[in-house]
Amino acid sequence: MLIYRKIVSLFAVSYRFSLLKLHSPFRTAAASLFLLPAVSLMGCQSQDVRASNAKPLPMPTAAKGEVVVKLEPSRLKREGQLKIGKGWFGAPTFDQKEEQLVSGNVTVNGEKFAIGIPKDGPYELKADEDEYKNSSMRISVDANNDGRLPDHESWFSSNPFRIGDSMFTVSAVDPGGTWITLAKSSVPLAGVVLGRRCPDFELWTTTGKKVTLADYKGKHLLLDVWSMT
Amino acid sequence: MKGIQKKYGQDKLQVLLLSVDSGYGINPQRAMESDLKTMTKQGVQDWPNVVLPNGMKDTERMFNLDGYGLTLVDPNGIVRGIHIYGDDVTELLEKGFGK
Repeated sequence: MLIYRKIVSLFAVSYRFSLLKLHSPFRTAAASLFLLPAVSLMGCQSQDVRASNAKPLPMPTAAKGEVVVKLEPSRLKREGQLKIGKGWFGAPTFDQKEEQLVSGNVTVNGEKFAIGIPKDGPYELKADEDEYKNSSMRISVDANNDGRLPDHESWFSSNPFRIGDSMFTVSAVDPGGTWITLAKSSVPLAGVVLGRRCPDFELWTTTGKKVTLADYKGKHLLLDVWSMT
Repeated sequence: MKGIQKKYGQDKLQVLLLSVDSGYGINPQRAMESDLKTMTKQGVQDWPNVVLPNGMKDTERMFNLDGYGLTLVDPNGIVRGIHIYGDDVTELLEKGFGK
């Protein structure tokens, strides 16, 4: 469909230039000036339209162990990760992108949580294992019900994710973004959530020592994600 | 970080390093050696360091952390800060120690 649209646009623009009766060298130069942006613009337009214009599917009935959450347009926005960079003359630059969400509510163990997914998709539930960055859809959970969704309250839908003190997976999502189906997961509790208990871990240090969360009981613990690269 | 650790002492505060170098295609053994070099240079070679074989994919899966930074867990195992830096760390710790 996209290729077809591009071919049609090429013909349309070429035809218009032939009508202008420009001399051949000028016509070629002018056509290339106009054609390139026209073609790339058409490509962008069709990609933008894809997710937000997808026809909503009817809401399914929840199977056993599943919950179907109705999603509606909302004011909730996912705050992206704050990226600090270097600008002119070494001055720091701050970049934080926001993403508009569609949201709904889910009750887990008597607690109500707002959850949201990007309003305009894409709704990819699987991550490409070969890719360094996880490209699956982000699902946001307002864990402390403050109406804000900082980056650490969003989860990759390719992994099990945490709502309250329970784990869930995304079973299905409406391509039109009007509902999402969540299934309870039996994986151990994972993910850090402000004000809630840290999930248990068992890791091996470079000196061969086993460390668990229990080892740090009675002490403050700073987990430092780092890289020397 | 070194200053913070010194201020509160090992009996009150511990740091656990989670190295994600292996996620960038570096062999875990080499990552371990390079990490140690960097840590020695910074004088923190005694801090426990965990080299996660799948790098950031492991921190994502275990802790839902997909970026660098600090996460503070209090003595009762409750998470008090996520993706915290600089003064926020000191502020949260002071609050935690009741200052």
